Amino acid sequence: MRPFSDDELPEAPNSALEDWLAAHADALIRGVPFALPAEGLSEAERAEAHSLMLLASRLREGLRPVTPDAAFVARLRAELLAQAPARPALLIGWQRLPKRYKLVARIGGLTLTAGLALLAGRHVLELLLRAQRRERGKDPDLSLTAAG
Amino acid sequence: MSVPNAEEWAHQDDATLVARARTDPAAFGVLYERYVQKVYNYIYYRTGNHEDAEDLTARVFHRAMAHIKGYVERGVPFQAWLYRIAHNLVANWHRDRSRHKVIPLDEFVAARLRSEMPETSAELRDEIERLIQAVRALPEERQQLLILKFVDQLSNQEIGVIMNRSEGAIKSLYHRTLLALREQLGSMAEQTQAQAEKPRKGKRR
Repeated sequence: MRPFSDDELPEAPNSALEDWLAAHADALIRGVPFALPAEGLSEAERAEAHSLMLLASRLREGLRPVTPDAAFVARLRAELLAQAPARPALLIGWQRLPKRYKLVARIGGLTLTAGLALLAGRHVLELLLRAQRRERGKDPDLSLTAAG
Repeated sequence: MSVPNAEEWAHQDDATLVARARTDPAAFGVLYERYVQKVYNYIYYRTGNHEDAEDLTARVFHRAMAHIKGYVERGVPFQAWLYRIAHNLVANWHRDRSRHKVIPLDEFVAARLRSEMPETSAELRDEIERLIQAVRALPEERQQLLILKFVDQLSNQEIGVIMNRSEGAIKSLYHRTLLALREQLGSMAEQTQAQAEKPRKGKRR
């Protein structure tokens, strides 16, 4: 097993402080006041947390979301939709059918296929029997005209 | 069953839209509108300029559209899948840039601050500029975490899925990232002070 890197330590060294900082970041992002009591933290941890919370507030201020150019967004959307392969009208129609209609259509399709398969089978069987009869007709032992 | 209109589409969850998007481009259009800004922001902060952010965002969505039929959720929601595509493209972009060094990235970020935050004082702008420079000096993974958290405003759980880590590991990484950032800012301040003192020492001589 590969060793854990610094960022992958399975056990948090100070989970109370980590939870506290995470809750503070969530409050910052939601834009609500942070009011979690620092009960689980020592004096030193509180001072540390205070310093890191100030830094997080600066991050919130500095890392503002930007808005992409509206023309770019519209152009890319049009490109993507134009690139999509056009679906056959029959497929669209099928997808829009209610479930019970699809079920009936599937049963109908299966019945039709089975019927066609039976007809084809019968035809093939007739051909085989005819061929077999023809073969028997050619057999000298069974021929009426054969010399005795 | 009727085909949903735009408003009905907007209320569908990602999984439903992804299933529809395999055969109906309109559903992909809704997913695109839902995530284009987030993906763009992520790429913008990772590249530092709008031109590359547009180019890479377009590539992310083209790639997602081309592979949507083969996409199976398996614990990675659509949003995380998009971010992973974006992350890979940005990584390739950085690799290419390191081969052909062109323009310093932070120039763009500084220009944005001047143009997009004119209401702030010059002092505050400088401070934010230094902060962004310090963020950019962090290892890639820590930059990714800060952007996903503060720019795209994702929860620790969502970030965990994107970065393939537990929620606890993300909290821990966030703590260590803040410590590293504070250290980075400290060393930048020391460098600035040292540079400011150089001419004074030169004059004394």
